[in-house]
Amino acid sequence: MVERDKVIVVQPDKTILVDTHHPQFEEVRKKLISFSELIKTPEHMYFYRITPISLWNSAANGVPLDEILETLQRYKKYDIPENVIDFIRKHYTTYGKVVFQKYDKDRILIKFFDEEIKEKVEKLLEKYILEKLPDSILVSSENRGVIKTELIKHLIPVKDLAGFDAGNKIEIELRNITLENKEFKLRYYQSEAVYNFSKWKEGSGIIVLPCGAGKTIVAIGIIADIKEYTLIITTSNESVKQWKKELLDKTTLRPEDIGEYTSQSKNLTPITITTYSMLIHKRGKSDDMRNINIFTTQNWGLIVYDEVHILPAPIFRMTTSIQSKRRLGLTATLVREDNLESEVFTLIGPKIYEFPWKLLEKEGWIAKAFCYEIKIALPDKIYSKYLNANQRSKFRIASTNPEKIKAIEFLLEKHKSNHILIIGHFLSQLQEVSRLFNLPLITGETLAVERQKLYEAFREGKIKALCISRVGNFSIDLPLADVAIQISGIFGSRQEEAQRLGRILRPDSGNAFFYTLISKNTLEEDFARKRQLFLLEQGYKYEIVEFSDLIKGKTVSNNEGDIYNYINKIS
Amino acid sequence: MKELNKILFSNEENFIDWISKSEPQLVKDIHYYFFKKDLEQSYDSEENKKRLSEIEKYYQENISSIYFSLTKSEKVILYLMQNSFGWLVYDRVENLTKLIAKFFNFSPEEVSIAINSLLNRYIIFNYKRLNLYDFLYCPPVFLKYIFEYLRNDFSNNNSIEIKPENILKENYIQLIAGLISYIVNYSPRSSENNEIHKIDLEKLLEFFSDFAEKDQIERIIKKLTRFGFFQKYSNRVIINKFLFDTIVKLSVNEQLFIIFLYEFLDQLEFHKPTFMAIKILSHYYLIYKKPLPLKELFFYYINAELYFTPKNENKNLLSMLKHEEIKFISFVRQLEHHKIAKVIKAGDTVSLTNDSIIMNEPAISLLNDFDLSSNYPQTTFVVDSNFEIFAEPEIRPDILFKVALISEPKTIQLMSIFRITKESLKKSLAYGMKKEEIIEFLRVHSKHKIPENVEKSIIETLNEITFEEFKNYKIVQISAHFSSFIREKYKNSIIEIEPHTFLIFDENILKNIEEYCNENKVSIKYITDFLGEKYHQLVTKFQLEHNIKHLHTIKDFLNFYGSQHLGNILKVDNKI
Repeated sequence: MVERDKVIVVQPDKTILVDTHHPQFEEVRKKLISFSELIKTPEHMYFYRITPISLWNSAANGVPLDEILETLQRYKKYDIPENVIDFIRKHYTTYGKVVFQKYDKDRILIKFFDEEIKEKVEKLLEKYILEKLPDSILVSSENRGVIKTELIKHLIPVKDLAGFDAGNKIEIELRNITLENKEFKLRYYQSEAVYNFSKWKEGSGIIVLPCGAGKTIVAIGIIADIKEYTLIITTSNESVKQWKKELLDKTTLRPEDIGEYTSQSKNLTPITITTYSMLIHKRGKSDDMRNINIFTTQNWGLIVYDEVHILPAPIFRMTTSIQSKRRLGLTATLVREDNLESEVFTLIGPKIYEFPWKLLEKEGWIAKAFCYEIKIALPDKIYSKYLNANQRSKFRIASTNPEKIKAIEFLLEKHKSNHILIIGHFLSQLQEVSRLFNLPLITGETLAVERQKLYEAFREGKIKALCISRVGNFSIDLPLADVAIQISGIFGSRQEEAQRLGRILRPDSGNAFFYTLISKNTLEEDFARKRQLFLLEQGYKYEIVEFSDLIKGKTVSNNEGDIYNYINKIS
Repeated sequence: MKELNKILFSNEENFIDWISKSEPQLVKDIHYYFFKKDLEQSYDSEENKKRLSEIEKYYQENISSIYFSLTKSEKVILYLMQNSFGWLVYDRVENLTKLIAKFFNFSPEEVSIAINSLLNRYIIFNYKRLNLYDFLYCPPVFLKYIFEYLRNDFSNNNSIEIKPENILKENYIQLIAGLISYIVNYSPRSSENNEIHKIDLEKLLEFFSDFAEKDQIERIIKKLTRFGFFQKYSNRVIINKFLFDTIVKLSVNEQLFIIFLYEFLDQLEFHKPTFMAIKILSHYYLIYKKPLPLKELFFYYINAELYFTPKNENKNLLSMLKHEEIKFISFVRQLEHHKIAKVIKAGDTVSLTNDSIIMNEPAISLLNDFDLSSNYPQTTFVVDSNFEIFAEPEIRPDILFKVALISEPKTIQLMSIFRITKESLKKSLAYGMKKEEIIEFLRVHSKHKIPENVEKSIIETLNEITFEEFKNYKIVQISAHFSSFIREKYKNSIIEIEPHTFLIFDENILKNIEEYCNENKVSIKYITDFLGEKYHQLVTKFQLEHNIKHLHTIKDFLNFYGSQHLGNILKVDNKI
């Protein structure tokens, strides 16, 4: 039966499509997010997907199955494919059929609430079973993580109520006035996230917040709530510094409470911050990961995994052995390039809190971003060279189009009152830009101290523009940046895109501008298209402009972010 | 109701015409029976026609008393005749009475009495045929008056109403659109040495695997090929350039027929008895609004089978029945497999005695030529900022096909999703779209405002393309190693229709390319125009129309199968 006035279409492949112009849109989106993942948000049509994990998450969060089915029935435009209903029932109800409970100090009781699953699990776990009891089995606590990983491979999620070991206590409170003398309190969604984590019965889980929404602050809120020794693992040394700075600035922790565990300094303190690469570092091929025991050398009460979506595989293996520790994962997206979402679910925990990107933008918590692709023709001579080149060289020729310099000059001039990041892939190109415009350059070669100094100067507004190579891709906080110019890049990775945009999506800036320079009629256009699709699907405005039109100051459209208007206004 | 009458009794004229010409004695006898006036036998067929009209009028005026004077078994016999186009075929009349008695729980004597009584009252007639089995016949001119009474008596009085499956459920139109789009966009894959050119069927099937079963897709491709929409040409499958024009011009019914019914009938080689059985099945739901017991369908099936069987072919009725039953069950399974009908089963397997069958809505509609376009009322789709187009299942097929032509398929499901790309826009030009038409089409049918970036990008892409019209083109194939140079250098003025094969519109460009090839000693191959007029003619419009048309009315149907029931007849009488 067709109900033409309704809002959602449920596809047999378990995606849900919602027309954003429909009067029921606002009403239904809140309900959908409780049992499905928001995948794409272009202008007119939102995509949600129901996955086993999304269903387990909703079961874990206590969303009743009937409510899920009722939501679909109530808002559906066309009959819901039967396979989708079966899928929902099947996966939703598997959660809670296998429950871990603490039996004694060394053993865990696995309780079953389904005969069929019991048989299956018993077969799978044969080698781990210490004792069989009616409706349950006993296993060693040591195998807690391994068993969970084993079961998830067969799409059996575990409700882990075996509890967690308390860590050593530490005195910590949030400051009302920060060290930098600014008023500070958690934003409403941040305190919601902290609250959700603290009342969460399984103890571990993931908080999903977009770049720039203050994931670090949420984690700090949680640390202050738990008040136990905490290990924070993040992505880079810059980021370690960043965490430390925030912790000092926003809490009553003293500098001696916070230690950096990096190649330069190995301090184990109540709050210790380290990096993923540090943990998996080996001296030689045959060497062990010698820093791994950091997990056990301190009695941690909480382990924070920053940017969970890029968590490297060896860390998963480590995490299996520390299932009795509380774990907090932070990320902007649960989508992983390597499809290891189910590992994240099992070993870190279910999604506990999520706040959508676009809503934060709408409410003004993060900057409004405008994306532009500027097309620049290759000079004729180079173009014919380009046509005769092989695929690899083609990419380089297109990327390093010398005409791009003119565009950079133009943008630097037009945005002289802004804070600009110039991001590139080819070092020689970046060096040239740096030399021509007399801008500092940060590459992989740049010493950490030097790098830190430059970031500091940029943050303080002493440097207006900064050239950075790929190193800039991980989470460093540059609050003042509001313009990014991407002059070349390896395209196609969704992660990279989100990261780059994340650079400039900091709340201090009002509007943010993201320019990508593209050589016209080259394969750069095709690569760029992929990236463009990702951004569009995330709901950003994306405009394509010709550089030749841009310098003529030609006006094409009148929307708010229109580059010509904006540039005319500021020039 | 008027519609139904038209469907059921469209051949009534045949009877009056024929009998008034060839059976003057019978006309005299009938007239005497009803009016007790001893008229001379007339050889003037106009006079006989007039007499028959009087009888018809009498029949019409007295139908109520005639019907209520019928016994239960007489009613059943008329009901059976009504359902089987008016005829009941027999080898020996005892066998017929036994059969009816067995199937409908009467004693053979009762049935025999009923048949004789109906004959004596000139309600039914006995047709004696030369080579084929004889049959009892109730002319439509009579049937149409008792029809309403029969319907009341035999209609659904069950409280549970079982409805046929809806047309939208199978997404036939979406599948055609998806296939067109897929093949236009991703068509022939080629090996490096230019020898093998064909659609990677496995890949295609994989693409659609979420939305339709593989064999269904394969069957649809086969059908579309059969009607000339796709062609095999020197080992490659190509799409007829006029495919789009042709398919858009067809009515929704015709579009559906091609992939839905034709295929099934073709598989049965348009076997007459089975065709008549599905025709009966399609009428049955229209009249009685309930599923037909399989047992009863089997009766009609045998009846139809016998209709075309030469006399003396079956020596033993029982063994013939057993043989027919096996054939019938497999026929029923075919109906299910092709989603033409659904068996309402009591157990796990098909049971002749317990189960019933109901035809699905699309088949009912197509067999009776109901206009299906009202099932597709939507004229808009959503164009989104990521260049995707969303078309709901109810979108008007001609609009959907156009969408399919200008964009690549992303997913064909309940909601079909396409994506506009530079390549898809260019390819659509090769299949007959016009530049200025594209953006206008999107503007007119876009439900929400087309996102600015999309509109701008399309206009830009189209402006970059230098050729204006799809004519005077040459098709050349260039060795794989050099084709990428050609592709990029002339990206806006030629179309790559398959790997290393280009449509070139401009003589100067052709000359440049030839020079380039000469200089570099690159081989260039001129391809015969496989998109042109010649192949268009293969889509034989007549063949298509012919095949569709005969399905729709009994009159056409009887014409299609010849007029055997009138042809070699010895005598029509009211005696056996």
